[in-house]
Amino acid sequence: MSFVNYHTKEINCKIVYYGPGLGGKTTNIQHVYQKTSANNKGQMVTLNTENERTLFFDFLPLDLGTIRGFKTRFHLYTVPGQVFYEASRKLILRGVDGIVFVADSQVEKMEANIESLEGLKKNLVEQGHDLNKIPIVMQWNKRDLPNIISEQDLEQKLNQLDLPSFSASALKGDGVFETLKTISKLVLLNIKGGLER
Amino acid sequence: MNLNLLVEKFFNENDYNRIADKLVVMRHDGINVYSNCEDQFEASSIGALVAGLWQAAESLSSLLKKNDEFFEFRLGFDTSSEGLYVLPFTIMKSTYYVCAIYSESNNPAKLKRNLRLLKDSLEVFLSEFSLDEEANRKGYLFNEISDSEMDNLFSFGGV
Repeated sequence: MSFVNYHTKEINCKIVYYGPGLGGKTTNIQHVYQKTSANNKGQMVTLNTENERTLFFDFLPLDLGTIRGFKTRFHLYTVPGQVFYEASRKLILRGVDGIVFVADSQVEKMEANIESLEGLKKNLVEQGHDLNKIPIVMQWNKRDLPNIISEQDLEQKLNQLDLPSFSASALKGDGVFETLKTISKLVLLNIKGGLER
Repeated sequence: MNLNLLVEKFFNENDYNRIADKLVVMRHDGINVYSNCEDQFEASSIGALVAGLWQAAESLSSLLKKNDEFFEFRLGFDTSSEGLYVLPFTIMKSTYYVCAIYSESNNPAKLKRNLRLLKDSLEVFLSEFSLDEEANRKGYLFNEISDSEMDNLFSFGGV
């Protein structure tokens, strides 16, 4: 859950990149890390298996700057996409403020996308979130690959809630910041105010 | 009262911030409330890792037969002279952790004991203040945010 400190005028928010295995969640935040100046970011923490698959989570603290006098710090996390890491995904979703669902556009990955999205919905509901209230942005990743499903089909099968969506090629950096910018705005707009001043 | 201010006051006024090389107090979701680290990005990473570490250990502990609820868990990862030590505590029904990271310690057992005492003192200190933050939350912080404000936030690069 977001944390507003009126004393230091700081906003802390947690954004989780969720999606099927090898869909490009880590690549998204690696791109953010590479394109962000050293003053705005901390070290990217990665907890990987030997073959560089995410084991627990990736973490990137990001200082975006100031909005109306409030310093904004976003904590970007990825979950492990592989099916058997369900317990870890549940842990990482705790306290989440916004979600980027990174779907793999390849035709053969549609089933994995659907399974992952259903898992996300189930986990969010289990943790007491209202799917109509928590900010979620969809990203159709790997649009640069040849054997991909049309965006129209992705929208139809994965975006029944009519959430904001973006085409992306995280490896090339296309769509990465557009996605992050949109989820950041939705998260900021969703922050409850009125803490003790 | 502002929790961050109170915790900072507690540590700094009593020189408790010197108990270990790095000392971080965080919420259960990994967001820091206090740290004595100069590098706040490093402190953020500590917060995220410790919260994840604790949550994973807590999930594993569900496999244990807990015969006595009186004892609470603590988490350690150490050698004979260096390591980390994490203790949970509760404020207004919310869980927080205090984590000490230490190296070249001649007496880690004493350090751990001191941290346990310090944690108890912190709980008592904070219990004297009203920190019902959730109840005080009203409306939204921002009713609207313009595109140019978002552009400013992302002006460091990328877009």
